[in-house]
Order: sequence, then structure tokens, then C-alpha cells
Amino acid sequence: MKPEELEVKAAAELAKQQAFDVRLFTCSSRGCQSSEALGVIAGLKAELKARQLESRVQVNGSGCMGLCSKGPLVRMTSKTQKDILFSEIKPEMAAMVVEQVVVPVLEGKTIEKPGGDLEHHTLDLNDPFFAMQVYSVLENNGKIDPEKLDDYIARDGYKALRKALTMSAEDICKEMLASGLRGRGGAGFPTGLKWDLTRKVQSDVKYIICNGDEGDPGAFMDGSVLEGDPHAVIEGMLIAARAMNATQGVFYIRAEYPLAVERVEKALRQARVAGLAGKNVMDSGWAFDFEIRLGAGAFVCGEETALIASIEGKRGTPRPRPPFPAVKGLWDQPSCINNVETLANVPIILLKGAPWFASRGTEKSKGTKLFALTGKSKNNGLVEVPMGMTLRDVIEKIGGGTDSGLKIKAIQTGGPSGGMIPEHQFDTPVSYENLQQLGSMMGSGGMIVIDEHDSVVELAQFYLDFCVDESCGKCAPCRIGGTQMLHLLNKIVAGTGTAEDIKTIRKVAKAMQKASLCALGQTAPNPTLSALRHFEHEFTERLLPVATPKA
Amino acid sequence: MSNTVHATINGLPVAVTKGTSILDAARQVHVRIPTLCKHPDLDATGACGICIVQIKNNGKMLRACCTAVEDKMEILTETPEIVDVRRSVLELILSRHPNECLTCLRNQNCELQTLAADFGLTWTGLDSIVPEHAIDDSTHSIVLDSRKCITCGRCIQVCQQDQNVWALSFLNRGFETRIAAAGDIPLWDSPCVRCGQCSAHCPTGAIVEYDESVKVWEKLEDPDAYCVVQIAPAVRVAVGEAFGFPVGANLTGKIYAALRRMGFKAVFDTNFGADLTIIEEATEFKSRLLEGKGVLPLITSCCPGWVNFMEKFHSDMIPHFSSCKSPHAMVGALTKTYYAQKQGIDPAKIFMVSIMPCTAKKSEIIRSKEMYSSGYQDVDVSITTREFARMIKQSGIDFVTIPNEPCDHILGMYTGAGTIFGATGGVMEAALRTAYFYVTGGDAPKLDFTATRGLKGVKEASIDVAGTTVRIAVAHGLANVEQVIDKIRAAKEAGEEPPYHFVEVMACPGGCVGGGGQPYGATNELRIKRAEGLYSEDFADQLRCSHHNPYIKQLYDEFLGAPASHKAEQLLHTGYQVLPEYKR
Amino acid sequence: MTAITYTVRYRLVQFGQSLVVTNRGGAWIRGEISPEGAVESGVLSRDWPCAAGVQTPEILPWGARPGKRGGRGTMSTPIEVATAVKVAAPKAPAAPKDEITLIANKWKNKRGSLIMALHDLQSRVGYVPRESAMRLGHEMDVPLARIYEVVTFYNYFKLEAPGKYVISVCLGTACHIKGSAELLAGMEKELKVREGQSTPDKEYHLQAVRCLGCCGLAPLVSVNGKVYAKLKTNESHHVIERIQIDKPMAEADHESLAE
Ligand SMILES: Cc1cc2nc3c(=O)[nH]c(=O)nc-3n(C[C@H](O)[C@H](O)[C@H](O)COP(=O)(O)O)c2cc1C
Ligand code: SF4
Ligand code: SF4
Ligand code: SF4
Ligand code: SF4
Ligand code: FES
Ligand code: FES
Repeated sequence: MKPEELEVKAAAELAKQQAFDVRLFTCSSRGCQSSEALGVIAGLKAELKARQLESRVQVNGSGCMGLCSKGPLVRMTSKTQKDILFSEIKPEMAAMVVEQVVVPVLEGKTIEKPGGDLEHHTLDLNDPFFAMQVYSVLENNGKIDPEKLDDYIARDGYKALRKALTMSAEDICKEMLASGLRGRGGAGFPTGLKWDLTRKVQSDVKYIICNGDEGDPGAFMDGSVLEGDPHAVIEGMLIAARAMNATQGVFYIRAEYPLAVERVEKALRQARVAGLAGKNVMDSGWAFDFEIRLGAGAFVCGEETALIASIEGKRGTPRPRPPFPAVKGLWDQPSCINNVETLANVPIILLKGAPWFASRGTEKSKGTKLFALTGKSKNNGLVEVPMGMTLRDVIEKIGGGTDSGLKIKAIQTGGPSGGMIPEHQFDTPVSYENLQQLGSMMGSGGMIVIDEHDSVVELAQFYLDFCVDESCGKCAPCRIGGTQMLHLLNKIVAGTGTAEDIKTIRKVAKAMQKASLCALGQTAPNPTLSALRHFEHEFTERLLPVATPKA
Repeated sequence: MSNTVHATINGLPVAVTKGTSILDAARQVHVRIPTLCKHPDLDATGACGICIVQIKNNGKMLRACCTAVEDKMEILTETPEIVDVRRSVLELILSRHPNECLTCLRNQNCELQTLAADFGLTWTGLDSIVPEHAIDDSTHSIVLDSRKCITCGRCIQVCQQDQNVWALSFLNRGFETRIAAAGDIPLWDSPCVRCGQCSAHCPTGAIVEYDESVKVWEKLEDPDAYCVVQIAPAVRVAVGEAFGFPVGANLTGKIYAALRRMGFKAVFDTNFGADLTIIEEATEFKSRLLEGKGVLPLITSCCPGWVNFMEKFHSDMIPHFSSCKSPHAMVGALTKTYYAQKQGIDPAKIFMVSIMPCTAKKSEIIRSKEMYSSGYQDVDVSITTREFARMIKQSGIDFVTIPNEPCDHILGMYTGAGTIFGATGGVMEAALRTAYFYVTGGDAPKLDFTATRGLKGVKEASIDVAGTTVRIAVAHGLANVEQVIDKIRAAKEAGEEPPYHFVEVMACPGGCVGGGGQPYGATNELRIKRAEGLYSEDFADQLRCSHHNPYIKQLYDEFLGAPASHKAEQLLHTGYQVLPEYKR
Repeated sequence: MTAITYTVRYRLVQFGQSLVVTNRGGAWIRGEISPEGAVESGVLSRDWPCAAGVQTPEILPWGARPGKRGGRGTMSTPIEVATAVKVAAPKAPAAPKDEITLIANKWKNKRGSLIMALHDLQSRVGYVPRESAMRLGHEMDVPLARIYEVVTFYNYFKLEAPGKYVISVCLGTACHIKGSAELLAGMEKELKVREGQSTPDKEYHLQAVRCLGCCGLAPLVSVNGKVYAKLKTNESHHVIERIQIDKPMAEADHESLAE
């Protein structure tokens, strides 16, 4: 594809879309598929066919629209009126949707809020859950069909790549640095800087690796992005490759996300056919292609060096750094590893410019961040918020508090490496630094809400159990320390712990933090330590009662 | 760009070449950083977390063994915080370790135990969580007890990278991680070649030799048994390390004396067997080279680890193999025939003990029917240098002061050629000396074929034997063998002349001096010193060629007839079979 | 060269999924553990080199502590040696040979693709059979030890044939908060197996997984990839019922997988 053709294609696709009076988008991501979204799509198609409305109404699959707990979600867009978002639509309700909403709209009526049976299946788009989110990475989710390349191109897709092809590698890095984008995979390392470091290493072979391992249990942002907008990640990787003169791209995706793998595979095929990847990218003479590698159920493979070992077909055990992957990575060649969300941010930054991106957020944390809001939150799902929004807004307004009405006790961010943030600290604005200061971390973006009935001791136990399970076992502090700590925590949960045990937990935790080889072991004690910090009484209440001598 | 970096360690300035680890740099300024998982010969993996150090004004801790010194680093190695964390880590390691020092073969010779002693640990405050795992002693050579394993990964590195056997691997992950053969099968059924290098590199008692010293004591106490012993070349220059002798000290006379006091009725020397091997092998080589009987190159077969490796991985090389048994097996067979006849002893009563640097010999002695050529098991027990050192300590013999004694002759007297069998290249050199004699009828003007010496992985040379060019290759460490074999195979496939005429292989790095049953802590430095001990004895010897050994001549005259005679074939030669890598 | 086959009856400590005893000469006897923990029989797998070396097998439990050797203080339990009968090893399904060749050919020229090849293999037969692993390793020139290193490291791979329906109960954080542990316990009771085991009729395999990426719908289980979401924690019975109802569909999927 020549660069100019991009616009032609976009225009053609837009015209095609314009030809439809109504377009329906049904979330076809994994969550909604499990509540029969595919049946809904089939139902809608059948009904429209029966009514011979196929030429006027387009039925699409789409990426995640956020409110997974209310799936399957169906979005209706029309030239004549505001969008309507239906929730919990069952296949057998498809006819109802067509009859009660689509047909009237086609007849020129305006429907503010569907009535009747659909009344309870319509979501208010003015609800804070939607109104307070700022869509940037998720901009396309729910608005394009992830399986159609043209849909993506029609929404400015691959325009950023076109721009990147006219820029020097150094300039792309500078632009990224200026935007203030930081890694969304956990550590928050400035992306522009990472690219620049890799760029500066001389080598004939360089790899750009997309980290789609997302092992944090209870987080599904990366999976949703890969499922909902795979081309954005591919474009991000192509730009990254340009910025550091990489020669090969690798997707590492966890095997538990078969749909994401399928979508990425399909998108790559499309991109190759369209000449956006492969032997001659956008007719520029530059050859760049991708490979997909699957994980196989190991959280630690999200760690850069373990991920590299896994791609090399070995046990996913981390190795000491330095040398950093930027110097010696996959097959001992310079490699840059970026998180899915980080890469998905790239095209829009290049397109709209670093200042636009940097205008959002706090001083050191720019842009937006995806969170997977789960647990006892009323609204469960995928949310995108600007950096700097307070936790309270995220949890109470967007999340809507708890579904049970119980008081929120705390949230856990950063997954098994993060920590608990008690309710009284909710007024903190979201940023890498702030979360760290609260003893937690941004992590990949899992945000688990717990209410006053939940025990933080048990949650700490849960996370530690996870880390012990997922420890690669290479280094002694993590392998044994984790097990010992869990053993002590188990004692406390069982009511046989002593005050001495809490002391020992702290001591072991310190050894793990300081002497573990990789971040998994170094951060594994965090949930427990932060629980101890904020809720020590919950631990002490469970200790073995000490016999007090009678007076 | 300068290749030197400047840093300070505990305030002491240090300048090292780029890429030097903090651990090595510290040594230069006499700072000792404790380590556990790091072995000087192997790549650092950073598994234990004991060697942590800090950079000034930075809370993070780095591993000294695998972090390179960077310019202007201000390294601190002994702050109270560091010591505290090290201690905690050690406590953790001990909490997952059986407290069995008193009944452990590594007692007083264990890197973990030493570390614990250095730290003065008394009570860890942690519950002991030691998973119960079965002990694998199936190989009859090494015993694997994964309860004592600290998962440093040394054995795996050795077995996979240095030996290219891939018998050992990690199994499972996290706390469940342990070493095992693929699929948790007994090592017997695995490709393990019994080289014992894993046990020689293990810092703890997780892999040790299959200790049979008790069997030997039992027989020594048995009035009906007639115990005979032989010592291998490499034992004499290594056993002293257990008694504080300098590395490489040759203690042959003391060893003979100690053995006699232990109660052995005859003390023989495997060096005699080595001389005999040379006679048989050189005869074989001559007939292959000059008479075209059999294929070239001829490949040596005196290392049972190598034999196992070949049978499992390179069985197409069987025709190239010398049919000679290993030297100690020859001595064993002759003891129960020739010696028994000569002395009028019932061979059934003879209990033949070999003291070897090697664990593979433990299973070699039962490997095939040829090992029963005397009508009995030719060698009853083979123990390693390490077991032998312990036996000396148990016996109440003051090894340091005991005066030298000679060995018993007939199967004891040897030449310098037999001595150097213990080092890589030694067999080749000894064979060349005799081959030269066989081809030309006279001794080579210079007996030192130095091209075969040294620790280079593969040594190749062309040697002029009175006008005939003999191309040789010497390899040690099984991973190094591959390239030699590949060359032979390639030439064969292309129908070309073989790249070599004669190839020597020893499974262990450095040859037997670095054997799997030798005292712990072998590094290249040590291996060289041990080898020097052998070479200097050879150099000082009056007789330096096997064919000059008078007792060998006597043996052929009185008993065997001639080299490669029927009797020699029956007692001194063996056959090979194709073995599967995995039996299940 | 005679191969000796013994059948033995013994009570022993568990060693992985199997029990192994040895006689001192290095002969190996192996048996499988039956559900009661008693062992019926085993096959001696060593070719004894020559008659002169054969001794009466003195059978010691594998794993008896050192110190037993040399006869000073034996800590082993005596074991009764029964009649010598050859027992065939139980046959588990393996992937057809040519198919492994196909998988190997697909991947062997791509560096480091062992894990991908194993995925292919497991998706064919549901687990990684030893025979197939050996063949795969042979064709891809990967040592078997590396394959086992990898297979036992990653949770995804199985070494034993699982039941036909693999029930994965999510124990991710979101599901945990919503009580998935209770759900799993219910399942265990319902199916009378522990997590990680298959029912004796090989119909169901119960396993715990960490997050299936549908956290908004917690708690949930998936059966052969089909997700049952927003369950109640006491609904395990109900889940099994739904699986029964959906079985025909799953069956079809299963077959299409096998094609
Ligand atoms: C135990 C562990 C697990 C991790 N898991 C992930 C993961 O699932 N996805 C991810 O993108 N990064 C993960 N990371 C972080 C990565 O190592 C790495 O920092 C990140 O992929 C870099 O990309 P970024 O700069 O775009 O954030 C993990 C780190 C550790 C230590
Ligand atoms: S910290 Fe844990 S996960 Fe990381 S290398 Fe050590 S054992 Fe493996
Ligand atoms: S391995 Fe070392 S520390 Fe462990 S029991 Fe043996 S001697 Fe003691
Ligand atoms: S004895 Fe040699 S081959 Fe056998 S496991 Fe040890 S290192 Fe590997
Ligand atoms: S057996 Fe020894 S060498 Fe091997 S990993 Fe364990 S402790 Fe290290
Ligand atoms: S010696 Fe450095 S980590 Fe073990
Ligand atoms: S926690 Fe169960 S699906 Fe994510």
C-alpha cells in the first residue's frame, strides 16, 4: 500500500459506513462472548434479514465497551440520533431490539430511552461510569470491528505510521520522550528513553517485543486491547520499530487469551496483505514482520528476562540484569519490551502530538490509564481515566461504590506486586509516584475493591499464595522466603499465629525485597506489608490469645 | 574508549577491566564476599542471593557474582544491613534443608555448612519445611538427594553444557523445583553417563558419590576374604588435598603404605594396567594403521564415562573404538586369573577394590559380561578418591607422617607412560611413545609429545612417526567431543580420508585429574597442578615407555603369550553395544 | 542377555505419580499407585548384564535414608516378592507419529519454538505424552530433558491424560473476592476429585486457573474453553448440570478438535 492510498481507503470505508442508517456494535470480546454475544450478533442479523433491512443496518462485532459485568453490550449508532447502549442482551432479545428500537429509528423517530422490556436493558451514557472516563486507548473500542482493517483505517488508523516513516528514528524517540509516556506494564519507565537506549545500541538485529502476558490475576486490560483494537498495537510496534531500527517484532501473548491471539493473527495477516507489514511496509522499502509466541501459564514470564527465556523456548526464569535487554535481549540481541497498553498509546501520540498527550495527567504521569475495576465494585469492567483523577472518583463515581452497599474498606492496585490503599487515602490523584508513595504501585492496572466484610489478612494470604505458586524457584530468597511467609500467614489465618510470627514475617519480607533476583520476589511481600501497615489490628485480632496471668 | 573502570570497594580504590564482576574485583583488594551458588568454573546464575552488596546511597542490593563493576561505583560489601539480609537468606536456605550434617557425606566438606558456620547461625526461628523426595541411587555411581539441593543449578550447567548429556534438568518450579532426570525417572534409565561431574560441582550433599566404603571395610574385616587393591594414576596427586598437602603433591608411596595397613593383602597399581592398555592399544593401532585391520581413527576406550556417552549418543562410532578395557578392569581380570594362579589363591576369595578418581567406574564394573571375564566379577568394588580419603581418616593412620612403601610387584610396577594416563592427553602421549616403537623398532628421540598436554578443549596435532604422519585429536569434557566426532562423521559421509588416525577422549574436564570422584573444588588451576604432579613423576622416571616395563614383558611371557593373543582378547578386551538414550 | 521381570507387592512412599523400588544391584521395579494407595505390580526394567551378576533381589524402598547401605542399620521395610509375571504398562493415548512429524516440521526451523510445538501437541491429545515428547524432541533436535524442564515449569502443560471435560475454576483475584474458593470446594465434592485430578471414568478433569480474562463476570468456570460466568458460589451442582446439558455441544467441539 502506498501512503496516499491510506486516505483513499479511509474515505471509501467512511462512505460505506455512511450508507448505513444504523450501525449496531455488539461486544465480541471474550467476556461478552461467554454470555453469548455471538448468538446476539447472529440473532440481529437474522432478524434484519427477515425484515430485509440488511442494506440499511450494519451489524458488527466490537471490542470491549467497558461494563463487562452487564454484557453482552450492544451499541446502536445512527446518523439521526444519540447512541444507545443496550446491556445484557440475550440472543432471544435480538428481535425485540430490532423491532422496538432499530425500526422506529429507521422510520425517523428519535428514541431517548427505549421503554418496555428494554428499559432495564439500556445503559445511561450520562452515568458517571461513561461520562467521567476519558477514552484514548479505548477510543476505538465499541466503535470499530476489530476484525476489519478498514474500520481501523477509517478512524485514522496507520496514519501515525505514515508520519513515522517520514521521521528520523531519533525524532520519534524525542517525540515519545516529550509526551511523557511511561511504561504501562508496571515499572513506569519512560518509553521514549527506553526506545532511545535501544536505538543507540549498534546491531544488525534488534527486536521489539510486545508483552501481552498479563499474568496479574484480575486484570484484563491488555487482553481487551488486543481483542478490541489489535491494529493499534501493531501500528504502535511498527512505529517503535522505526524508532529504534528494530528488525523483527514479537508478540508474546498468554495462552489463556485464545481470542486475543486469534485477533492478532488475523490483524497481522490483514496488515501483511495490505502492505502495512511484511516485505515492504507502506511502499517505503522497509521490511518488517512479526511473530507470535504464546505463554503457557507462568506469571513470571511477564518479567522481561523471563519472557525472553520463554520466547527462546526455555524455562521462564529471570536472569540478573544488567545486562539489560536493550543491550542483550532475545537471542542476545538488543531488544525492547513494551506493554500492550504502552504500545496502543503510541499511534495517537504521534498523530496528535506530544503536547496534546502531555496536557493530560500530573507532572510526571501523563495521559490516561486503563484499569480493570473488579471485586466488590458495583460497576465491574474496563475503565480508562486520565492520570490525576482521584482514586475516589474512580472508585465511587465511575465504579459506583459497592454493589452490596457495604462500605468500601480499601482497594488493591498493582496486583500481587502492589499493595492495599485504605479508604481514607482515596483522595490521592492517580499517578505512578502517588501510588508508590501509598505503598502500592500502578502495576498493570488491576484495581480490586474490597468491602468491610472482606478480610485483608486473607487477601494478603491470597496474593502471597499466588506469588509462591508463580515463583520460578530460581533464587532462594523468593522460593523459600515466599513459602515461609505464606506458612506464617497461614498460621495467622488459622488463628494459631503469635506476635513473634508477625515479626518474622517482616524479617523474611525484608530478605525477599532485598535479595530476590527479580521483581516478582522483590515485590511479593508488598500486599502483606501494606496490609500490615494499614490494618495491623486485623492481624493481631487473629493471633493466638495470650494467657494473661490472673491478678 | 578505555577498557578499564575505576571504582571503590569499601572505600578501597580498584581498577579492573570492563566486565569484571564485583566479586572478582573485591578479591583484588582482599575483600571476601561470601558466595554459595557461584562456582569459579561456571557461569553465574545469581541463584542464592548470598553475595549481595550495595552501592553507596542506594537501597537496592546487587549480586556481586553477576554484576559487573561500573565506572565510579562506590561498592559497599559489609554494611550491617547487608550482613543482616545475608543472614536472613541463609536462614531461609537452612529452613528448607535437612539438618543432617552428622550423617551426610559432605560433613565438614560442604559449602553450605561452612557458610552457616561462618555466620554462626544457631537458631533460624523458622519452621523447617523440607519436602520429602526419594533418593535416587539407581546409577550405582552417584546418589541424588534433592532434599539437600539448594537449586544452584551447577550440576545442570555441567551436565547440559559441559558434558552435553542432558541427563539432569530442573523439574517443576517455585518451591517444588528440584533436580531430576527428564520425566522424574530414575537416573539409571536416563542418558546419564555416570561421569560424576555433577557431584564434583555440587556445593552440598545433594549429589554425592555412591559410597561403598562400608562394603570394603566389611571385606577387610572378613578373614576369608583376600582383599586386593589398586590405585588409579590421578588418585595419587589428589588425595593429599584432603590432608593439607599442596595441590598436586604425589603421594604414591604413602598411599601404598596406608593401604597395606588397612589390611589389603596385595597393593597394586592401575598404572600397570595403563602400561598394559598401551601395549594392547598400540598393537591395535598399529594393525589398523599399517595393516588396514579395522577403521581409522582409533578412539580410546579407557574412560567409562566416554564409553557410556558413545554407546548412547554416538553408537555409529563403535567400529572406531579400541576394544581395550579400561586399565583397572585389566588389572582386575588379571588379579583373579594370573595373580591368583601364581599365588595359589582361590579367585573366589579375592576381593578386588579399585580406588579411582571416577564415579563411572562404579557402574562400569558391572556393565557387561566381559566384566566377569575371570569367571568372577573382575573388580568387586570401585571407590572414589573422596571415599578413599575418608577411609584413611577412619583407619587411624597418620597419613601425613606415614613413610612411603613400595607396591606389590607383578601387577604393580609401572612406567611414566602409565602415570600420565591421569591427565588429558596422557593416554595419547603414552600410546604414541609405544606406537613409535612398534612402527620403527626404536624409541622416539623426544618422548614428550607436548602437543597433547594442556587444558584446551580439543587439541589437534600431526605427529611425525618416522616418516608417517599421524594425525591425532585429544578431547576432554564431553561437550568438546562433538566437534571431533562431527569431523570424523563428515569425512566418512564425504568418503574422504579420516581427519585423524588416533583420537583420545576423556569425559571429565582435564581428564581423570578432574574426575567426578576427586576431592572437591577442582578448578582449572587445580587441574593443571594435579596434572603437573603426574608429568613430573613421568619426567623423573627411569622407564617412560610402557613397552619397557619388565613386568609387562613377564606377564606376556608367563601368561598371555603375545599382545592381542586369544587369552589377551578374552581377558583384556571388551565389546560395545548400542544403548538407547532413555530406557523408558 | 536376560531381561528379568518381577511382579512385586509392596506398600511404599509415594514418588511422584509412581512408586519405584530397587534392589541393590540397580534393578528397578516400578508400579502405579492405585486409588487405595496400594500397589499391585510393577515391571523390572533393567537388562541384567550377565548371569554371574544376578543376586537375589533385595528390595529396598527407594528413598530409604542413606546409612542403610552397607547393611549397617537398615531402615527399610521388608517387601514381599511375588511371582514373576510380566505386566504390560497401561496404554495412554499418544499423538500419531506422522502428526508429530508435522508439528516438528512446522516449528523446527523457527528458533526457540519448543513451547509453540508443545502447544500444538497438547491441543491434539490433551496432554504431552512421553512417547510423543521423545519423538518431538528427536525430530526437533531438542533434548528430552529440556522438554520436561519446560513442560513442568509451565502450568499450562499436562503430563497425564486429563478427563474429557476439563473444568477450569478461576481462582484469579476478582473471582477469589467473589468466593471462587467455595465454588472449587463444591466442585471437588461434587466430582469427588481433588483439584488437578480427573474423575476415575476420565470424564472430568478439575483444575484451578488464575484468571481467564473475564473478571467482570466473576466468579466463573470454563469447560473446554466455554465459559460459565456470574455463578453463585454454592452453585457447583448447578454448574455440573449445565455441563451435562451442554455436553452434546461440547462433544461436537471436542470432535472438531480431534479432526
Ligand atoms: C513478575 C512480573 C510480571 C510482569 N508481568 C507483566 C505483564 O504481564 N505484562 C506487562 O506488560 N508487563 C509485565 N511486567 C513488567 C515487565 O517486566 C516490563 O517492565 C514491561 O513489559 C515493560 O513494558 P513497559 O515499559 O511498556 O511498561 C512484569 C514484571 C514482573 C517483575
Ligand atoms: S525472585 Fe522469584 S520469580 Fe524472581 S528469579 Fe527469584 S525465584 Fe524466580
Ligand atoms: S549438605 Fe552440607 S549442610 Fe546439608 S546436611 Fe550435608 S553437610 Fe550438612
Ligand atoms: S554423572 Fe555426569 S552424566 Fe550423569 S547426571 Fe551427573 S553430570 Fe550428568
Ligand atoms: S544438586 Fe547440588 S549442584 Fe545441583 S542444583 Fe542442587 S545443590 Fe546445586
Ligand atoms: S553467589 Fe552470587 S547469587 Fe549466589
Ligand atoms: S479473576 Fe477470574 S477471570 Fe479474572
